[in-house]
Amino acid sequence: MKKGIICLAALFILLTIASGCASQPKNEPVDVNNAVNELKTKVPFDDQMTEISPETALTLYGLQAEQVEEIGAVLSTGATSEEIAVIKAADGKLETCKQALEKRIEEQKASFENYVPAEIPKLEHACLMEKDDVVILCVAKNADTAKQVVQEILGA
Amino acid sequence: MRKVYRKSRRRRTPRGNFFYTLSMAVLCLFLLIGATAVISAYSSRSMPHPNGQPPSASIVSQETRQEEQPVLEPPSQIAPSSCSEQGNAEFSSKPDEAPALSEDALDPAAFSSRQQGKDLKEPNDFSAAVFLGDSRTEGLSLYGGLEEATFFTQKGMTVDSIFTKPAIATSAGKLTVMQALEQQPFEQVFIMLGVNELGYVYSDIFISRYEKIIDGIREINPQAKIYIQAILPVTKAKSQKDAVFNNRRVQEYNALLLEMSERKRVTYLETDRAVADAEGCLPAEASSDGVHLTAEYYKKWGDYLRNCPL
Repeated sequence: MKKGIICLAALFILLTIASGCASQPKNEPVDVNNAVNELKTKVPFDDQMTEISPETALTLYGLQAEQVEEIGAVLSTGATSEEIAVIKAADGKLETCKQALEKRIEEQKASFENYVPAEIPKLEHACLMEKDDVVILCVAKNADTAKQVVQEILGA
Repeated sequence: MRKVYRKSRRRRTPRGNFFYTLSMAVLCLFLLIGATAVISAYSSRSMPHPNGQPPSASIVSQETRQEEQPVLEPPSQIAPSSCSEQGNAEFSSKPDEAPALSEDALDPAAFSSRQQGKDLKEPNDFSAAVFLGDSRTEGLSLYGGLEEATFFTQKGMTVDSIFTKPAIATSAGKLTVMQALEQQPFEQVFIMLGVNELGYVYSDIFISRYEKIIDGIREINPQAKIYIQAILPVTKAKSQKDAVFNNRRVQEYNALLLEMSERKRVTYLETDRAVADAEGCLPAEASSDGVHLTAEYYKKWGDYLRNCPL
């Protein structure tokens, strides 16, 4: 009986350790297309959102092709400031990509300030996060949901 | 005789039995919790999307809009108070419906009768073209399929701000549209302005300032071909409830633009026909707010420009 109790206790300890390991943040690289799709499906938007081509996205954010390994962007019809951008930066270019997105937010604020002022809160609470070589921007009506989804994608 | 030692067994007391049973129960409970945690932790990492494929963004957004139906306000600069320098608002506060288009007006052959140019054999190339306009033209730059063109756009652009607002990012910093044109080589200029000026009390002021834009472009590049694009309509729902953004005003302005184009000897393009329905309205499915187009309809506009005689 004692041996049985000892075995059960050991098994319990092993299972506890195993569950702890399983719940640790994943270290898998972020897939840009999957990240864009997750943001499109899990974050609610007021406007109709459409993905633009990578070339158009590079022009929009003022980036060069050699600065970016992969890019995905989804924009609104223009009626709102809602936006998604996922950029996998080239080596050493993460800060450049992040600054491009920060500049985009400021430009949008200037554009919408006298155009549709109701959009300014979305821009002020825009979610801009980075991890490893990936930076993600999400401008949506629900900043908390956007932040939560971005954190899940980045494993932060 | 060999002594046989038997393992002594201690008999448990009733209290001992109780604690023994309790400890076994607690241990089993912990085992169950641990097993559940392991199973849920591993299964959440590999759970597929419930529908196999994520739904499209447009469907998600439309479902959201149907639940909440946000109403967007028109740009503040076209509010009547911003036109106070031109006098009190005299247009009727009752929104009017746009008159339905005649069948002849919808005949594609009628387009060419008002436009200069050769018979179209190849799609138009816009590598030497510049598009000037407001947020709708911005949408054209993103979704219209005219990647080789240059776009100088600004949300809320008007016939006034095109001269005054430094909104175009260039290597020389932020410039007004007319200043940016001086830096940019071009052979064709396509202009769409007017939706942000629908609230002007005096439409002749809109036309006179539009003419100044044409004169300004000709000063920069006398050889450039200038194309005036008709203002795109708004949806029927928007037109019926809005005293400013309605298709009666749009068609009134377009008629004035056509007259101006003939007077200034520039080309008038009936881009409104590319997106309008039989009633002359933007279809309901073409816009989320009644004014801005969806990607699909920006593409229709782009396709019209790609294939129309220029």
